Amino acid sequence: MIERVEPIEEPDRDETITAGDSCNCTCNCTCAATDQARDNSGDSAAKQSFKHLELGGG
Amino acid sequence: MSSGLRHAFRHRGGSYLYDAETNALLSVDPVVYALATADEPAFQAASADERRRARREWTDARRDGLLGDGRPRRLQSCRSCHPDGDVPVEHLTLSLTDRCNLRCRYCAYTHGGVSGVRPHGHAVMELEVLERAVRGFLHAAGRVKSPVLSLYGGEPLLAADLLRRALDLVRDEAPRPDVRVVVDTNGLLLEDAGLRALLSERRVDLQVSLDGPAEIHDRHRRTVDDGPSHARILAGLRALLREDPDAAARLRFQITVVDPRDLPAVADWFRGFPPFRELGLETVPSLGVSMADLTGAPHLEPSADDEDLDAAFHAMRRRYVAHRADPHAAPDPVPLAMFDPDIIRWHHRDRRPLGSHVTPAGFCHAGVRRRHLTVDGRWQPCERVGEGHVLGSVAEGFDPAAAAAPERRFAHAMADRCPSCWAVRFCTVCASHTAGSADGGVPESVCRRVRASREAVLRLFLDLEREGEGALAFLRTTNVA
Repeated sequence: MIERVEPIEEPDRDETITAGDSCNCTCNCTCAATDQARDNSGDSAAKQSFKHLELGGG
Repeated sequence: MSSGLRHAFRHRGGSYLYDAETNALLSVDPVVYALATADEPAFQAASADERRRARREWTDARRDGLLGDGRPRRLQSCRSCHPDGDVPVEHLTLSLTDRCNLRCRYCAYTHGGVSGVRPHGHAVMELEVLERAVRGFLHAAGRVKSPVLSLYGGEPLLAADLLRRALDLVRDEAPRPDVRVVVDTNGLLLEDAGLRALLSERRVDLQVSLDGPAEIHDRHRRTVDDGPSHARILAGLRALLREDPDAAARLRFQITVVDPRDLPAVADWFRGFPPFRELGLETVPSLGVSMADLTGAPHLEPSADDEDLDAAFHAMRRRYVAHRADPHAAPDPVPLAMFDPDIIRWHHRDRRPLGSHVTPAGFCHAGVRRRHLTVDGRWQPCERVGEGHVLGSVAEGFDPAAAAAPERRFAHAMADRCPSCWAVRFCTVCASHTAGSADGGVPESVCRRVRASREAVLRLFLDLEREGEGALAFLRTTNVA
């Protein structure tokens, strides 16, 4: 048995992250704050923006 | 256990393959798993029929484009991603001043000793530099998707004249009404009514550093004369919210965690966030959570052993999964802020097959979409790269060659490693951060840590998936900025 683990539908192509398109760093600082700012501008109303963060663990 | 651009791992009784070729996570049965991992004894232990079936499924999956043969690829340094001339940026961060009225014990600017990090000082940005930078940003703002200007420091509220001028310029000269300004503050000066009035504009968002309840926050976030800061920050926040309750939606709080054992208390405090609750506000506080970077601050290493710290972290992880599994649960913003971002990023991954080149996902193409201006007017990719990566200056102009150089050096240094790494498509290593290293690459120990953290994301995703579709339904309402 080989099955994709894809429990919900994939996002549209223009809603995916392309390598190099945005940083994937772990700082969660000024760039993370822009997500909320953009939400407040109405740019992505009613959607929760992606934010940068990595806490590792395992 | 990995092979080519695949990674095999077991999780809670299941067997899984992450296939970097297609960026897909696959659930497989034990015989296929044994085949994938070249575990000959386990494979031979299966019946002949099972072995035939596993081989057939493997061949079928290959025919469908999955589980490629890991053909040689080249690490790509994206030349076309660094245009020859200057480009409009979406996000500009200005360090208005080096001055700060706090001396947080974990802050790299406070304790020094971190290579390339500028310590607190007294420098303030020249007015002319600020005006040229903001005007340049605004001039190009009509050509980008979501322009955001961040005002940073030091403590930007200590440079109130510059902050006022930046806001005036945005108000008077922005070509569109949706240009946002984010002020990244420690919150101490929110007790000043004049500054609160300055920040009352609807286009201004405030990111306030606040680590939780007083007994945790004041342990590390100290004033210059080593006094506590929590009570003063909360007094300022309460005044701000009394004057304008709608400001709650423009606030974001940045939590820095030194000791993971503090997390339950921090999470409980933000769940019932007193400044909002006291005013009857139903707004859920918007949060960011990061672990303190204790490089150069050995005096702050948590005293517990690694096992206790891991246990504290995993308890919060369980709290997150339980929360996502319960559609009626009241918002629990700390675990959501800790774990949602990686899951959201995973959901929005690029599922197209890998081509003949790879670009590590940590790359942002320095200086292209976002840029930082140091207090003395030099361009950098962001405020986190230290002194090592300068991309020209306001006076002499942006230097595209300097922007592209670390990526080229990284591609050269890592040419043998990244193309054969299964985690390359969701790597978090930043090329700009390597600008000051000897060869432009990163040690294998960093790669190991990144791979472990990426596997942890896959395991977390599987835990949510086990809880049923409801635990992942929130992903339908997410996007990528």
